[in-house]
Amino acid sequence: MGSLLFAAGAAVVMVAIQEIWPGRAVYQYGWYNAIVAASIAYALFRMQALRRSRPGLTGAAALLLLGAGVVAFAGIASGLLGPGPHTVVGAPGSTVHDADLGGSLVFPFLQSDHAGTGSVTVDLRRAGAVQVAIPPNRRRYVGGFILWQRPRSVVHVSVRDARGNHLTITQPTNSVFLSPVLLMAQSTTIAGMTVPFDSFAVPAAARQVKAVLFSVQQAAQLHANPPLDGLPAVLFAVSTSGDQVLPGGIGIVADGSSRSIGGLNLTAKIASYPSIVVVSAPSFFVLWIGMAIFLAGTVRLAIRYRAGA
Amino acid sequence: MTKRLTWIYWVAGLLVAAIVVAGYFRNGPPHAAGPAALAGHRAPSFEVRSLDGKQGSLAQYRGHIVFMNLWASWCPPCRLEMPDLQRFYAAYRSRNVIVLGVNQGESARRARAFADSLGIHFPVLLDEDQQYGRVYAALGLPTTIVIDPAGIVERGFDGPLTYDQMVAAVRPLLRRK
Repeated sequence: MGSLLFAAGAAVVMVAIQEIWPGRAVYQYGWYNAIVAASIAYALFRMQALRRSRPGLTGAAALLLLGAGVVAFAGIASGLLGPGPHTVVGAPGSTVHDADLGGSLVFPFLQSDHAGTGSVTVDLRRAGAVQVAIPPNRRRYVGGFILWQRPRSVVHVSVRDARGNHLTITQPTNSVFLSPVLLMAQSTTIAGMTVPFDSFAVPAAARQVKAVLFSVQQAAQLHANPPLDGLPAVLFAVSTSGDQVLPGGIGIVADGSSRSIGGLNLTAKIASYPSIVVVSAPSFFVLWIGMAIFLAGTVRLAIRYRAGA
Repeated sequence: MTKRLTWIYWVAGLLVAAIVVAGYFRNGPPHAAGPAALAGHRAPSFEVRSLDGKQGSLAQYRGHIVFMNLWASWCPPCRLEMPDLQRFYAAYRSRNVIVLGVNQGESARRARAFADSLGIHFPVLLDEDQQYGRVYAALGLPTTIVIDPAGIVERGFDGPLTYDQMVAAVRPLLRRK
Protein backbone atom coordinates (compact mmCIF):
# COMPACT_ATOMS: atom_id res chain seq x y z
CA MET A 1 0.00 0.00 0.00
CA GLY A 2 2.90 2.33 0.82
CA SER A 3 4.38 2.11 -2.66
CA LEU A 4 0.97 2.80 -4.22
CA LEU A 5 0.59 5.90 -2.07
CA PHE A 6 4.17 7.00 -2.79
CA ALA A 7 3.87 6.60 -6.57
CA ALA A 8 0.50 8.37 -6.78
CA GLY A 9 1.71 11.11 -4.42
CA ALA A 10 4.87 11.63 -6.47
CA ALA A 11 2.80 12.21 -9.61
CA VAL A 12 0.57 14.69 -7.77
CA VAL A 13 3.56 16.60 -6.39
CA MET A 14 5.29 16.75 -9.82
CA VAL A 15 2.17 18.32 -11.31
CA ALA A 16 1.47 20.64 -8.37
CA ILE A 17 4.99 22.05 -8.79
CA GLN A 18 3.99 23.19 -12.30
CA GLU A 19 1.31 25.36 -10.76
CA ILE A 20 3.50 26.75 -7.98
CA TRP A 21 6.56 27.54 -10.14
CA PRO A 22 5.06 27.90 -13.60
CA GLY A 23 6.84 28.44 -16.88
CA ARG A 24 9.90 26.18 -16.43
CA ALA A 25 11.02 24.52 -19.66
CA VAL A 26 11.49 21.18 -17.89
CA TYR A 27 7.71 20.69 -17.63
CA GLN A 28 7.53 20.32 -21.38
CA TYR A 29 10.32 17.75 -21.59
CA GLY A 30 9.18 14.28 -22.57
CA TRP A 31 11.05 12.58 -19.70
CA TYR A 32 9.31 14.74 -17.08
CA ASN A 33 5.89 13.78 -18.35
CA ALA A 34 7.00 10.15 -18.80
CA ILE A 35 7.91 10.02 -15.08
CA VAL A 36 4.46 11.36 -14.13
CA ALA A 37 2.77 8.79 -16.39
CA ALA A 38 5.03 6.00 -15.13
CA SER A 39 4.22 6.87 -11.51
CA ILE A 40 0.52 6.50 -12.21
CA ALA A 41 1.07 3.27 -14.16
CA TYR A 42 3.10 1.87 -11.26
CA ALA A 43 0.41 2.92 -8.75
CA LEU A 44 -2.18 1.17 -10.91
CA PHE A 45 -0.03 -1.95 -10.94
CA ARG A 46 0.29 -1.81 -7.16
CA MET A 47 -3.48 -1.45 -6.84
CA GLN A 48 -3.98 -4.72 -8.68
CA ALA A 49 -1.75 -6.39 -6.10
CA LEU A 50 -3.66 -4.69 -3.27
CA ARG A 51 -6.95 -5.95 -4.69
CA ARG A 52 -5.73 -9.50 -4.27
CA SER A 53 -4.12 -9.05 -0.80
CA ARG A 54 -6.49 -6.50 0.85
CA PRO A 55 -9.77 -6.42 -1.11
CA GLY A 56 -11.38 -4.21 1.55
CA LEU A 57 -9.05 -1.35 0.62
CA THR A 58 -9.65 -1.45 -3.12
CA GLY A 59 -12.46 1.16 -3.23
CA ALA A 60 -10.47 3.76 -1.29
CA ALA A 61 -7.33 3.03 -3.33
CA ALA A 62 -9.27 3.40 -6.56
CA LEU A 63 -10.57 6.79 -5.41
CA LEU A 64 -7.04 7.88 -4.52
CA LEU A 65 -5.76 6.70 -7.87
CA LEU A 66 -8.57 8.43 -9.75
CA GLY A 67 -7.63 11.74 -8.10
CA ALA A 68 -3.95 11.23 -8.86
CA GLY A 69 -4.83 10.22 -12.42
CA VAL A 70 -6.86 13.39 -12.95
CA VAL A 71 -4.01 15.54 -11.62
CA ALA A 72 -1.43 13.65 -13.70
CA PHE A 73 -3.52 13.94 -16.83
CA ALA A 74 -3.91 17.69 -16.33
CA GLY A 75 -0.13 17.99 -15.88
CA ILE A 76 0.79 15.85 -18.88
CA ALA A 77 -1.74 17.60 -21.11
CA SER A 78 -0.28 20.95 -20.09
CA GLY A 79 3.29 19.74 -20.59
CA LEU A 80 2.75 18.10 -23.95
CA LEU A 81 -0.13 20.05 -25.50
CA GLY A 82 0.35 23.50 -23.98
CA PRO A 83 2.36 26.10 -25.92
CA GLY A 84 5.75 27.26 -24.64
CA PRO A 85 6.02 30.30 -22.37
CA HIS A 86 5.89 33.61 -24.20
CA THR A 87 5.55 37.30 -23.48
CA VAL A 88 2.94 39.52 -25.10
CA VAL A 89 4.12 43.09 -25.57
CA GLY A 90 1.64 45.85 -26.38
CA ALA A 91 1.72 49.62 -26.66
CA PRO A 92 -0.47 51.67 -24.31
CA GLY A 93 -3.91 51.83 -25.92
CA SER A 94 -3.40 48.83 -28.17
CA THR A 95 -5.17 45.47 -28.32
CA VAL A 96 -2.98 42.48 -29.09
CA HIS A 97 -4.45 39.16 -30.21
CA ASP A 98 -2.83 36.00 -28.85
CA ALA A 99 -3.72 32.86 -30.76
CA ASP A 100 -2.69 30.54 -27.90
CA LEU A 101 -5.03 32.27 -25.47
CA GLY A 102 -7.76 32.43 -28.10
CA GLY A 103 -8.37 36.07 -27.17
CA SER A 104 -6.98 39.58 -27.06
CA LEU A 105 -5.04 41.46 -24.42
CA VAL A 106 -6.13 45.06 -24.01
CA PHE A 107 -3.28 47.32 -22.92
CA PRO A 108 -4.63 50.53 -21.33
CA PHE A 109 -3.28 54.03 -21.65
CA LEU A 110 -1.12 55.21 -18.81
CA GLN A 111 -2.57 58.06 -16.77
CA SER A 112 -0.27 59.94 -19.06
CA ASP A 113 2.26 58.43 -21.43
CA HIS A 114 4.62 60.94 -19.90
CA ALA A 115 4.13 59.72 -16.33
CA GLY A 116 7.15 57.80 -15.03
CA THR A 117 6.05 54.43 -13.69
CA GLY A 118 2.51 53.41 -14.36
CA SER A 119 0.41 50.93 -12.43
CA VAL A 120 -2.10 49.58 -14.91
CA THR A 121 -4.33 46.56 -15.27
CA VAL A 122 -4.29 44.66 -18.56
CA ASP A 123 -7.52 42.91 -19.59
CA LEU A 124 -7.93 39.59 -21.39
CA ARG A 125 -11.02 39.43 -23.61
CA ARG A 126 -12.18 36.15 -25.10
CA ALA A 127 -15.33 35.54 -27.07
CA GLY A 128 -18.01 33.99 -24.88
CA ALA A 129 -15.95 34.30 -21.70
CA VAL A 130 -15.83 36.74 -18.82
CA GLN A 131 -13.21 39.47 -19.18
CA VAL A 132 -10.19 38.75 -16.97
CA ALA A 133 -8.24 41.62 -15.38
CA ILE A 134 -4.51 41.09 -14.89
CA PRO A 135 -3.35 43.57 -12.22
CA PRO A 136 0.29 44.14 -11.18
CA ASN A 137 1.82 41.55 -8.84
CA ARG A 138 -1.03 39.05 -9.23
CA ARG A 139 -1.24 35.80 -11.16
CA ARG A 140 -4.36 34.98 -13.11
CA TYR A 141 -5.39 31.40 -13.89
CA VAL A 142 -7.25 31.20 -17.18
CA GLY A 143 -8.09 27.67 -18.32
CA GLY A 144 -4.78 25.95 -18.98
CA PHE A 145 -2.75 29.16 -18.67
CA ILE A 146 -1.25 31.36 -16.01
CA LEU A 147 -0.80 35.05 -16.82
CA TRP A 148 1.06 37.78 -14.99
CA GLN A 149 2.55 41.20 -15.63
CA ARG A 150 6.25 41.79 -16.21
CA PRO A 151 7.21 45.48 -16.23
CA ARG A 152 9.53 46.76 -18.94
CA SER A 153 10.88 50.11 -20.01
CA VAL A 154 9.21 51.93 -22.88
CA VAL A 155 10.03 55.30 -24.41
CA HIS A 156 7.43 57.93 -25.25
CA VAL A 157 8.77 60.05 -28.10
CA SER A 158 7.62 63.46 -29.26
CA VAL A 159 8.96 65.04 -32.47
CA ARG A 160 8.78 68.64 -33.66
CA ASP A 161 10.23 70.29 -36.75
CA ALA A 162 12.45 73.40 -36.74
CA ARG A 163 9.33 75.63 -36.67
CA GLY A 164 7.96 73.85 -33.60
CA ASN A 165 5.27 71.89 -35.46
CA HIS A 166 4.38 68.60 -33.81
CA LEU A 167 4.89 65.71 -36.27
CA THR A 168 3.29 62.28 -36.66
CA ILE A 169 5.29 59.24 -35.54
CA THR A 170 4.72 55.91 -37.25
CA GLN A 171 6.14 52.47 -36.53
CA PRO A 172 5.81 50.58 -39.82
CA THR A 173 7.72 47.55 -38.58
CA ASN A 174 5.95 47.22 -35.23
CA SER A 175 2.56 45.85 -34.24
CA VAL A 176 1.05 49.29 -33.58
CA PHE A 177 1.51 51.55 -36.59
CA LEU A 178 0.41 54.86 -35.08
CA SER A 179 2.10 54.90 -31.69
CA PRO A 180 4.54 57.41 -30.22
CA VAL A 181 5.46 54.82 -27.59
CA LEU A 182 8.49 52.71 -28.47
CA LEU A 183 8.30 49.25 -26.91
CA MET A 184 12.06 48.66 -27.19
CA ALA A 185 11.45 44.98 -27.85
CA GLN A 186 14.76 44.31 -29.62
CA SER A 187 18.26 44.45 -28.19
CA THR A 188 21.72 45.17 -29.51
CA THR A 189 25.24 45.44 -28.12
CA ILE A 190 26.98 48.82 -27.98
CA ALA A 191 30.41 49.23 -26.37
CA GLY A 192 29.97 45.89 -24.63
CA MET A 193 26.58 46.85 -23.20
CA THR A 194 23.42 44.97 -24.18
CA VAL A 195 20.78 47.63 -24.70
CA PRO A 196 17.17 47.63 -25.94
CA PHE A 197 16.45 49.42 -29.19
CA ASP A 198 13.59 50.31 -31.50
CA SER A 199 12.94 52.49 -34.52
CA PHE A 200 10.27 54.77 -35.90
CA ALA A 201 9.55 56.99 -38.88
CA VAL A 202 8.67 60.66 -39.19
CA PRO A 203 6.94 60.63 -42.60
CA ALA A 204 6.30 64.39 -42.74
CA ALA A 205 10.08 64.96 -42.61
CA ALA A 206 10.98 61.80 -44.56
CA ARG A 207 13.16 60.63 -41.68
CA GLN A 208 13.86 57.28 -40.02
CA VAL A 209 14.98 57.29 -36.40
CA LYS A 210 16.66 54.54 -34.40
CA ALA A 211 16.38 54.75 -30.62
CA VAL A 212 18.62 52.96 -28.11
CA LEU A 213 17.75 52.96 -24.41
CA PHE A 214 20.44 53.21 -21.73
CA SER A 215 19.70 52.50 -18.06
CA VAL A 216 21.03 54.85 -15.38
CA GLN A 217 24.11 52.65 -14.89
CA GLN A 218 24.78 52.36 -18.63
CA ALA A 219 24.16 56.07 -19.22
CA ALA A 220 26.74 56.89 -16.53
CA GLN A 221 29.41 55.21 -18.69
CA LEU A 222 28.62 57.33 -21.75
CA HIS A 223 30.24 60.61 -20.59
CA ALA A 224 27.65 62.51 -22.60
CA ASN A 225 27.72 66.22 -23.24
CA PRO A 226 25.54 67.79 -21.86
CA PRO A 227 25.74 65.49 -18.82
CA LEU A 228 22.81 63.16 -18.17
CA ASP A 229 22.53 64.00 -14.46
CA GLY A 230 22.14 60.41 -13.31
CA LEU A 231 19.11 59.79 -15.52
CA PRO A 232 18.43 57.00 -18.00
CA ALA A 233 18.85 58.20 -21.57
CA VAL A 234 17.95 57.51 -25.17
CA LEU A 235 20.39 57.67 -28.06
CA PHE A 236 18.74 58.75 -31.32
CA ALA A 237 20.19 58.22 -34.80
CA VAL A 238 18.31 60.19 -37.45
CA SER A 239 18.66 59.10 -41.07
CA THR A 240 17.03 59.75 -44.41
CA SER A 241 14.40 57.40 -45.76
CA GLY A 242 17.30 55.81 -47.68
CA ASP A 243 18.96 55.04 -44.30
CA GLN A 244 21.78 57.60 -44.69
CA VAL A 245 22.62 59.02 -41.26
CA LEU A 246 22.47 62.82 -41.41
CA PRO A 247 25.30 65.13 -40.30
CA GLY A 248 24.64 65.81 -36.61
CA GLY A 249 22.11 63.01 -36.79
CA ILE A 250 23.27 61.15 -33.68
CA GLY A 251 22.63 62.46 -30.19
CA ILE A 252 21.72 61.38 -26.72
CA VAL A 253 18.75 62.71 -24.74
CA ALA A 254 18.25 62.32 -20.99
CA ASP A 255 14.87 61.12 -19.73
CA GLY A 256 12.36 63.98 -19.89
CA SER A 257 14.45 66.35 -21.98
CA SER A 258 14.52 67.48 -25.60
CA ARG A 259 17.31 67.98 -28.12
CA SER A 260 17.66 68.91 -31.76
CA ILE A 261 19.16 65.98 -33.68
CA GLY A 262 19.42 65.78 -37.47
CA GLY A 263 16.93 68.62 -37.94
CA LEU A 264 14.31 67.14 -35.63
CA ASN A 265 13.55 68.24 -32.10
CA LEU A 266 13.24 64.98 -30.17
CA THR A 267 11.82 64.55 -26.67
CA ALA A 268 12.15 61.22 -24.83
CA LYS A 269 10.23 60.17 -21.74
CA ILE A 270 10.98 56.78 -20.26
CA ALA A 271 8.22 54.90 -18.48
CA SER A 272 7.64 51.47 -17.03
CA TYR A 273 4.85 49.54 -18.73
CA PRO A 274 3.75 45.92 -18.33
CA SER A 275 4.07 43.09 -20.80
CA ILE A 276 2.11 39.91 -20.13
CA VAL A 277 3.83 36.58 -19.53
CA VAL A 278 1.75 33.62 -20.77
CA VAL A 279 2.65 30.12 -19.61
CA SER A 280 0.67 26.94 -19.95
CA ALA A 281 -0.07 25.18 -16.68
CA PRO A 282 -2.36 22.40 -15.52
CA SER A 283 -5.95 23.58 -15.54
CA PHE A 284 -6.49 25.14 -12.10
CA PHE A 285 -10.06 23.87 -11.81
CA VAL A 286 -9.25 20.30 -12.86
CA LEU A 287 -6.15 20.24 -10.67
CA TRP A 288 -8.12 21.12 -7.54
CA ILE A 289 -10.85 18.59 -8.33
CA GLY A 290 -8.17 15.93 -8.77
CA MET A 291 -6.43 16.98 -5.56
CA ALA A 292 -9.71 16.84 -3.62
CA ILE A 293 -10.45 13.32 -4.92
CA PHE A 294 -6.88 12.25 -4.16
CA LEU A 295 -7.10 13.56 -0.59
CA ALA A 296 -10.54 12.01 -0.06
CA GLY A 297 -9.17 8.67 -1.28
CA THR A 298 -6.11 8.98 0.97
CA VAL A 299 -8.22 9.74 4.05
CA ARG A 300 -10.64 6.91 3.26
CA LEU A 301 -7.76 4.53 2.71
CA ALA A 302 -6.25 5.48 6.09
CA ILE A 303 -9.58 4.99 7.87
CA ARG A 304 -10.21 1.61 6.20
CA TYR A 305 -6.63 0.54 6.92
CA ARG A 306 -6.98 1.42 10.62
CA ALA A 307 -10.31 -0.37 10.77
CA GLY A 308 -8.45 -3.47 9.57
CA ALA A 309 -10.29 -3.82 6.29
CA MET B 1 -15.45 -2.50 -6.41
CA THR B 2 -18.79 -2.88 -8.16
CA LYS B 3 -19.08 -2.75 -11.94
CA ARG B 4 -21.30 0.31 -11.62
CA LEU B 5 -18.65 2.19 -9.64
CA THR B 6 -16.03 1.26 -12.19
CA TRP B 7 -18.21 2.75 -14.93
CA ILE B 8 -18.70 5.93 -12.96
CA TYR B 9 -14.93 6.25 -12.57
CA TRP B 10 -14.36 5.72 -16.27
CA VAL B 11 -17.00 8.23 -17.32
CA ALA B 12 -15.74 10.84 -14.82
CA GLY B 13 -12.16 10.27 -15.96
CA LEU B 14 -13.02 10.63 -19.64
CA LEU B 15 -15.06 13.76 -18.94
CA VAL B 16 -12.16 15.38 -17.11
CA ALA B 17 -9.78 14.33 -19.88
CA ALA B 18 -12.04 15.92 -22.48
CA ILE B 19 -12.27 19.16 -20.49
CA VAL B 20 -8.50 19.34 -20.01
CA VAL B 21 -7.61 18.57 -23.63
CA ALA B 22 -10.32 20.91 -25.00
CA GLY B 23 -8.67 23.76 -23.10
CA TYR B 24 -5.62 23.51 -25.35
CA PHE B 25 -7.63 23.44 -28.57
CA ARG B 26 -9.73 26.48 -27.83
CA ASN B 27 -10.58 28.00 -31.19
CA GLY B 28 -11.84 31.54 -30.87
CA PRO B 29 -13.69 33.17 -33.74
CA PRO B 30 -11.44 34.13 -36.67
CA HIS B 31 -9.50 37.22 -35.67
CA ALA B 32 -9.75 40.21 -37.97
CA ALA B 33 -6.73 42.52 -37.96
CA GLY B 34 -6.79 46.29 -37.85
CA PRO B 35 -9.84 48.53 -37.50
CA ALA B 36 -12.22 45.85 -38.84
CA ALA B 37 -11.58 43.87 -35.62
CA LEU B 38 -13.44 46.52 -33.61
CA ALA B 39 -16.83 45.95 -35.26
CA GLY B 40 -19.46 45.41 -32.57
CA HIS B 41 -17.37 46.96 -29.78
CA ARG B 42 -18.06 50.24 -28.00
CA ALA B 43 -16.15 53.05 -29.72
CA PRO B 44 -13.50 54.52 -27.38
CA SER B 45 -13.40 58.30 -27.16
CA PHE B 46 -10.74 60.74 -25.97
CA GLU B 47 -10.92 64.42 -25.21
CA VAL B 48 -8.48 66.32 -27.44
CA ARG B 49 -8.27 69.78 -28.99
CA SER B 50 -10.21 70.50 -32.13
CA LEU B 51 -9.21 72.59 -35.12
CA ASP B 52 -11.39 75.47 -33.92
CA GLY B 53 -9.37 75.63 -30.69
CA LYS B 54 -12.00 74.08 -28.38
CA GLN B 55 -11.92 70.70 -26.65
CA GLY B 56 -13.67 67.93 -28.55
CA SER B 57 -14.12 64.18 -28.67
CA LEU B 58 -15.88 61.44 -30.56
CA ALA B 59 -18.33 61.05 -27.66
CA GLN B 60 -19.86 64.48 -28.26
CA TYR B 61 -21.34 63.14 -31.53
CA ARG B 62 -23.28 60.34 -29.81
CA GLY B 63 -26.74 60.12 -31.42
CA HIS B 64 -25.28 60.65 -34.90
CA ILE B 65 -23.93 58.18 -37.40
CA VAL B 66 -20.24 59.07 -37.21
CA PHE B 67 -17.90 58.56 -40.15
CA MET B 68 -14.56 58.99 -38.36
CA ASN B 69 -11.56 59.44 -40.62
CA LEU B 70 -7.99 59.31 -39.29
CA TRP B 71 -5.61 61.28 -41.47
CA ALA B 72 -2.37 63.27 -41.65
CA SER B 73 -1.19 66.02 -44.00
CA TRP B 74 1.86 64.05 -45.21
CA CYS B 75 -0.28 61.12 -46.36
CA PRO B 76 -0.98 61.23 -50.14
CA PRO B 77 -4.00 58.85 -50.06
CA CYS B 78 -5.55 61.03 -47.33
CA ARG B 79 -5.23 64.07 -49.60
CA LEU B 80 -6.85 62.14 -52.47
CA GLU B 81 -9.75 61.01 -50.28
CA MET B 82 -10.54 64.41 -48.74
CA PRO B 83 -12.64 65.93 -51.58
CA ASP B 84 -14.91 62.87 -51.53
CA LEU B 85 -15.17 63.06 -47.74
CA GLN B 86 -16.19 66.73 -47.94
CA ARG B 87 -18.74 65.92 -50.66
CA PHE B 88 -20.11 63.04 -48.60
CA TYR B 89 -20.38 65.29 -45.53
CA ALA B 90 -22.27 67.93 -47.49
CA ALA B 91 -24.65 65.37 -48.95
CA TYR B 92 -25.40 63.37 -45.80
CA ARG B 93 -25.15 65.94 -42.99
CA SER B 94 -28.91 66.47 -43.16
CA ARG B 95 -29.43 62.71 -42.65
CA ASN B 96 -27.72 62.66 -39.24
CA VAL B 97 -24.33 61.59 -40.63
CA ILE B 98 -21.28 63.40 -39.24
CA VAL B 99 -17.87 63.19 -40.84
CA LEU B 100 -15.29 63.60 -38.10
CA GLY B 101 -11.67 64.06 -39.16
CA VAL B 102 -9.03 63.09 -36.61
CA ASN B 103 -5.58 64.36 -37.47
CA GLN B 104 -2.85 62.05 -36.26
CA GLY B 105 0.06 63.62 -34.45
CA GLU B 106 0.30 67.04 -36.09
CA SER B 107 0.11 70.60 -34.88
CA ALA B 108 -2.96 72.77 -35.46
CA ARG B 109 -0.97 74.93 -37.90
CA ARG B 110 -0.19 72.00 -40.22
CA ALA B 111 -3.67 70.52 -39.97
CA ARG B 112 -5.35 73.86 -40.62
CA ALA B 113 -3.17 74.60 -43.65
CA PHE B 114 -4.11 71.20 -45.08
CA ALA B 115 -7.84 71.60 -44.33
CA ASP B 116 -7.94 75.12 -45.78
CA SER B 117 -6.14 74.09 -48.96
CA LEU B 118 -8.77 71.39 -49.59
CA GLY B 119 -11.83 73.35 -48.48
CA ILE B 120 -12.70 71.01 -45.61
CA HIS B 121 -15.65 72.09 -43.47
CA PHE B 122 -16.37 69.01 -41.39
CA PRO B 123 -15.18 68.98 -37.75
CA VAL B 124 -11.54 68.01 -37.18
CA LEU B 125 -9.92 66.82 -33.94
CA LEU B 126 -6.18 67.16 -33.32
CA ASP B 127 -4.91 63.93 -31.80
CA GLU B 128 -1.28 64.88 -31.12
CA ASP B 129 -0.69 61.80 -28.98
CA GLN B 130 -2.18 59.49 -31.64
CA GLN B 131 -4.53 57.90 -29.11
CA TYR B 132 -7.29 57.33 -31.66
CA GLY B 133 -4.79 55.77 -34.05
CA ARG B 134 -3.59 53.34 -31.41
CA VAL B 135 -6.94 52.30 -30.02
CA TYR B 136 -8.58 51.92 -33.43
CA ALA B 137 -5.67 49.70 -34.55
CA ALA B 138 -4.87 51.77 -37.62
CA LEU B 139 -2.67 49.77 -40.00
CA GLY B 140 -1.92 52.89 -42.01
CA LEU B 141 -3.53 56.15 -43.06
CA PRO B 142 -6.22 56.93 -43.90
CA THR B 143 -8.31 54.74 -41.61
CA THR B 144 -12.07 55.08 -41.40
CA ILE B 145 -14.39 53.89 -38.65
CA VAL B 146 -18.18 53.94 -38.99
CA ILE B 147 -19.95 54.29 -35.62
CA ASP B 148 -23.68 53.95 -35.03
CA PRO B 149 -25.75 56.47 -33.03
CA ALA B 150 -25.40 54.30 -29.90
CA GLY B 151 -21.61 54.58 -30.04
CA ILE B 152 -20.93 51.05 -31.32
CA VAL B 153 -18.40 50.45 -34.09
CA GLU B 154 -20.23 49.28 -37.20
CA ARG B 155 -17.28 48.84 -39.57
CA GLY B 156 -13.62 49.74 -39.96
CA PHE B 157 -11.72 50.41 -43.17
CA ASP B 158 -8.02 50.49 -43.88
CA GLY B 159 -7.06 52.76 -46.79
CA PRO B 160 -8.88 55.41 -48.82
CA LEU B 161 -12.56 55.06 -49.75
CA THR B 162 -14.37 56.36 -52.81
CA TYR B 163 -17.58 58.38 -52.51
CA ASP B 164 -19.65 55.33 -53.46
CA GLN B 165 -17.92 53.21 -50.82
CA MET B 166 -18.66 55.89 -48.20
CA VAL B 167 -22.34 55.86 -49.13
CA ALA B 168 -22.42 52.06 -49.05
CA ALA B 169 -20.77 52.04 -45.62
CA VAL B 170 -23.51 54.13 -43.95
CA ARG B 171 -26.47 52.77 -45.95
CA PRO B 172 -27.24 49.88 -43.53
CA LEU B 173 -27.32 52.34 -40.61
CA LEU B 174 -29.58 54.75 -42.48
CA ARG B 175 -31.96 51.86 -43.26
CA ARG B 176 -32.00 50.83 -39.61
CA LYS B 177 -33.28 54.23 -38.44
